Amino acid sequence: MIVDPFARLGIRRCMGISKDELETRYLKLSKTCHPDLNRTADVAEQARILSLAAELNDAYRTLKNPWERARCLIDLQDPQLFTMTKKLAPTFLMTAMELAEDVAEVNADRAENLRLTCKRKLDLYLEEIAELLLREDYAEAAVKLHESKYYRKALEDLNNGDRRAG
Amino acid sequence: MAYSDKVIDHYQNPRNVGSLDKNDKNVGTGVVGAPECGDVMKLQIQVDDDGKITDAKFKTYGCGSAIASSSLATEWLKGAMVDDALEIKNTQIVEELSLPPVKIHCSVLAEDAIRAAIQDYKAKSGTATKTEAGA
Repeated sequence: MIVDPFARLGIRRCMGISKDELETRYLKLSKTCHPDLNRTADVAEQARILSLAAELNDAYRTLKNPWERARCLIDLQDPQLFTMTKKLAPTFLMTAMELAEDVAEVNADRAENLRLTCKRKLDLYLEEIAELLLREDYAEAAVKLHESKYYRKALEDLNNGDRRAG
Repeated sequence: MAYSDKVIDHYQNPRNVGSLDKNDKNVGTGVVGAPECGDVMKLQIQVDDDGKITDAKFKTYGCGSAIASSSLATEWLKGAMVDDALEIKNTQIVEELSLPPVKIHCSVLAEDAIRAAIQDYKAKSGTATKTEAGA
């Protein structure tokens, strides 16, 4: 059973959360379970507080990252959906192949351009995913989230300068 | 995690890397992906009039196991009859490469790529019997 990070932090379950609210809620709740403030508690209570603190950290980390936030909204709706939607359309996979080739063959002059293209594409994906989640089209949101992974990976590889073609 | 010698061999010396003309009606192309790792695999077969696979090429962007699985697949495909090639199972790839459980999905990807390439070839050459449901 997954912990609902929105519930854990007391934030409304949606894609468009406020960064400030997330930060404030996290800091406020973290204070209550800081080990220093609970030194007089018994061992069992300290253990409970510690696991609560870990849950808060996980919840915060998940919600701070928009891709993980989207994944979380999909999982909370249907834990199977993400796995069930991973077979992507051949036309998209062709695009993914070309993207991987571009990344592998890019020279220093073009790398910045390609990086920008990926970033722009990822912004569009994020907008699209947010819209799909708002319309409660979780399956299509999952597909788009899968697709975006190729651009996220491309960006990572461009930043690391490391991609191997077989 | 340690890769087996065979995986390392295929990874360092991948067989049959490249592309065939995807517009050729005797060429079947399959492109599959594992989005959770951002892997993408293209596998192509060239088939003669007797239904024999005369050439196979692949291009994979992914981990060592994904590269090795597709490289091995092309070796097995070359010289095989199309209908026999459909019998290739991911478990055979797992066995040959001694893939650990966490890398089994790489062999599944290779099997999917073989099937997709054959299906594409059959659709193009008009030898398709019936497309599999959900495929």
